Amino acid sequence: MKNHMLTLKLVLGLMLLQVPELSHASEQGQKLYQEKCTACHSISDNSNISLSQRLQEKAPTLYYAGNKFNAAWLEQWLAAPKRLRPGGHFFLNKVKVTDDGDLIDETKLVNHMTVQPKEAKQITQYLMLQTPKADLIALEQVTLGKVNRTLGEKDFNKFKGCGSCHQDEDGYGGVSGPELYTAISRLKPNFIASYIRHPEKWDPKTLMPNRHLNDNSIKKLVNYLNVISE
Amino acid sequence: MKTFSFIVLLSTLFAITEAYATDTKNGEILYQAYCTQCHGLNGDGWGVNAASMDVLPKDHTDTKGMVTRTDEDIFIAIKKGGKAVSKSNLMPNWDANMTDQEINDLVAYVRLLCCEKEK
Repeated sequence: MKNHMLTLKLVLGLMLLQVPELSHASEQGQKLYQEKCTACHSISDNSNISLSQRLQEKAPTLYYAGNKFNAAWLEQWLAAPKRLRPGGHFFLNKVKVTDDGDLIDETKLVNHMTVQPKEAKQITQYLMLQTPKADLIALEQVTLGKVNRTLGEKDFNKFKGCGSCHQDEDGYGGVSGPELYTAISRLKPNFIASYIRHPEKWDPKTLMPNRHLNDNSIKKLVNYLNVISE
Repeated sequence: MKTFSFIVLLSTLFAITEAYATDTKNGEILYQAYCTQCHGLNGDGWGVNAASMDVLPKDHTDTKGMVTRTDEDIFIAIKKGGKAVSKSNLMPNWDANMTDQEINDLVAYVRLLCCEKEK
């Protein structure tokens, strides 16, 4: 009994030590966010954004970052970022018209800044606190599963038309939207489902259409992203 | 009394025209935001996404082809998607992204692009 009490005290003690440490890290993260991220990203409520404001954004909103990202992925990515959007956040000002059709002018693409691993951890801790849309997430109950890859690919490209804007393999698919072959490691499954169900509730001036898909169709798409996940 | 009725009639007609007036400038902004990714910066159907698509997006500069489409056809295609006008499912429904008024502005701009270039 004595031993149990001792263990309990030890655990409680450790917890008390951890809370201020976490809070300190997120405070540091907030400072770093202000210093390094606000030139391109916004964290404020996007509910009343106009289309022209949306089109002038330099980078995606981080308003609901905590509802959206997997923390482990975010921390790792901030320290070693890799392009997620082949055409940048908004493709239009990177387009060059050529005889072979419109192309993305890669010289106009800007690389995401890199931060030190310790900073990445602190920024991540701050961003993961941004969860204003927990009510939308609570409506989803995704359990990742599998789907036949060939049928899933057909569904993704031909039937749902996702491949027109998104890549499901490096170099294959549209370039105006973010690639989706790392979606499962990058994004929370319930966020993916919710964003497919009603993108405009997340981003009122989103460039993604709401295809009015039912639960089963959304599940198939999420499972396809799971199967192709890198 | 007759003059009064005439003024009322004129005002009503003016109000109705105003309400349904389309704004091609706004239509152009909407076109750039939602359409150019597939239909191209110049509307020729060769947008940045076109190369990887199974069905080529409609060339909106093809006057001959576009004059056969009514404004209502174009409105329905934008609002409900290509399938609603017996065309490709790859043309999505934009009903959650634009209001009917905005879609009307977009239709007016598409019409300008395809068929009224000389104006």
